[in-house]
Amino acid sequence: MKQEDAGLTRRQFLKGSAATVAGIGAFGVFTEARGEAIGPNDIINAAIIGTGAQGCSLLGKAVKVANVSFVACCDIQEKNLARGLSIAKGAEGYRDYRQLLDRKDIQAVIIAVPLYLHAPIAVDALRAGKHVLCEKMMAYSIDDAKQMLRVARQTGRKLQIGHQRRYDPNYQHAYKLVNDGVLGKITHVRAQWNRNGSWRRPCPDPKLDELVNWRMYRRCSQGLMAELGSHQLDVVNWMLGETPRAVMGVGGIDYWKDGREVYDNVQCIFEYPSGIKLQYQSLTTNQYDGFAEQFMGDKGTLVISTDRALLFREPKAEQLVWQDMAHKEKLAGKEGIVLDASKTPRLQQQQAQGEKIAGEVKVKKDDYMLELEDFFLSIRDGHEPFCSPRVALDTCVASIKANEAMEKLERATIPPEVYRA
Amino acid sequence: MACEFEMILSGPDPAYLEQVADLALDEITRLDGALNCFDPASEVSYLNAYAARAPVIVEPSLFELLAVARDVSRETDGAFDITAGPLIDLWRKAERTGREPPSEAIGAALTRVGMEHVTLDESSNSIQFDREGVSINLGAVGKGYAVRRAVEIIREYGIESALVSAGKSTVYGLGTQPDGEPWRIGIRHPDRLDERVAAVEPRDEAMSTSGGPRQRDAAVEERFEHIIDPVTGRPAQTDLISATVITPDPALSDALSTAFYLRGRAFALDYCRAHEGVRALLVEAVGEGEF
Repeated sequence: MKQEDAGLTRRQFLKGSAATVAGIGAFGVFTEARGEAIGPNDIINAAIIGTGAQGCSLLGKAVKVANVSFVACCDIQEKNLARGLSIAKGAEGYRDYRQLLDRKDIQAVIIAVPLYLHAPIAVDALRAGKHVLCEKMMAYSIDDAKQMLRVARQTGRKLQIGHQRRYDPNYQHAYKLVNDGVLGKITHVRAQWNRNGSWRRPCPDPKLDELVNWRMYRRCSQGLMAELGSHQLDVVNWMLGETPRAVMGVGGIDYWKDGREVYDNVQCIFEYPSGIKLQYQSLTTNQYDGFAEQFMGDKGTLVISTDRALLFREPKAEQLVWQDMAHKEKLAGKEGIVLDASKTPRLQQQQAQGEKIAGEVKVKKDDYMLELEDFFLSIRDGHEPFCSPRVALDTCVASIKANEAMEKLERATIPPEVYRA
Repeated sequence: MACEFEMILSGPDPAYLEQVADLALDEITRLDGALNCFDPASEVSYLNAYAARAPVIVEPSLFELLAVARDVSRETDGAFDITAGPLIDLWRKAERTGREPPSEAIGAALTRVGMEHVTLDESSNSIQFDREGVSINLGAVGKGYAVRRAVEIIREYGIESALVSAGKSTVYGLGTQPDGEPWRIGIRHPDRLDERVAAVEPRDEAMSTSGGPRQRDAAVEERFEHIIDPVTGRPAQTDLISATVITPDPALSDALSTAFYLRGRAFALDYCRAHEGVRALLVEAVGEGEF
């Protein structure tokens, strides 16, 4: 199935990254059915529900977005709430998110709660008239995800899901190269997120374990495929411009025998309509391969990870003009071209010659910051956020179907109607 | 922070200890990302880029650290100064070229150095610079702060015996070893690297060491002293080979070790006499140490 919005247009991305401490461009449109305009310099009142580790990480960046004021935080754990309030100084604290949603002055809400609560809280927030940025994965179930999308449509509120890698400039750059055909015909993709650790947070009181370690419990979590895999599935779907039609795989609880209910290792193969296969793996017992996506075409291979991307030419492929100027490095004994969206070809050439460049980038916004700016900008100017509920639903479907396939040890087909909302 | 963090945790449940250690190391990794002024995506890089134009809200740990740095700067008459970045950059280039910077360049850099150019607003956790070109470099206090945060997490989860080390230049001893013996840390002899000039037994205390080229790595040939005096703009002129500070707060011990090394023996002794809870072990040029 083809995705509707395969890439962020240059105009949308520039708009998204143009917001600075000093302010944003001059436009203001009617964004809601009630006719309430939000101008470029109007303050948006925002709140956050869920101020655990991820919530506080997001909040720490969100408070920097220009013309946004965080007026409320909510968390059921006192310690987490205190931490959120120390970041959003002057905000009011809530233990019950419904009281927060009752406030008429709040226009936007960030949701960073356990997966199984994404849909109920997001739906309540949308119905309360709030625009919503919800952490990934979209929802615990396919039905929940579809409900979120439908309610966003019905209410006319913005709904954005936190697959923030789409905003990373290196990934944006890689997307252009892939779609310019630099890799030739892509036939396979390999992706993995391998770490070495139990993934379990310390919890001195066993009665609180499900609250603290919700990722380990099936009623709360979709495990590794949701918490880690969904990031990478989203990237692959985006790069390829299509979504899987089938998946098979195997997972297990084979090492961390600590009472967890979700797999401690997963490996799946996804089939795309074009014939492309994606091999995906996530381990908790070995970090050698780390995190990366590897796109393999008949002319070249693109390896993307968190802080860099490398392009390897197939021996029989033509050399492109710019490749001579590019900065090269070795990875596993093979020479590859380093891609860096922050550097021009001229800078790359000079760097290859060993010079320090005065114009080197001193600051860049990370993908979380760009994601947040896109969200608040979409509220002002009405554009659809780059990580829309549509693409997030596609990712959610693929992740959950992978879990089903592993559970049944059967190839699971994903017909087009499963993706429709 | 360009160093290795290590920790030893003691307790009855190894799996639990590993979980706590992972949490503490995650926090260190997070801080490394936030405080690293050489990472364009870090919180400090963002601050350095924008704080001259308008106040920048920072996350609470960074604000807390900047407040510690401000206080230490005041108390050491500017010997410790996190705004010395323009001077550090200047002397780093000098190290590559082998040529001392001209006095005019040092003078120009000095106009952008000084905590008086930095305003901290506690009501909003925001920072503002009063001119362009001011920049913050937390290299002299970041490791100590990361150790402080790691120890806070370890304590929070009920662990009473631990040793946390940041590159072996800042070490915190929590409680005692499991057998009741104190943690024991040796100070290396500046020339005879297999020998120790002294041993310290920190109990719920940190110790940090700052020193000249011989203290850091005998194999590394350096043209210029790497610790720059923020007041003169030039490499440290000191009577010390190294300064070790022992105090309950690792961020403070890290910052003060730099200040003591810069200002020398007399300053360090006066400071310790005036501040309860701060001790120092100084290695002088003749090779003898003194508390």
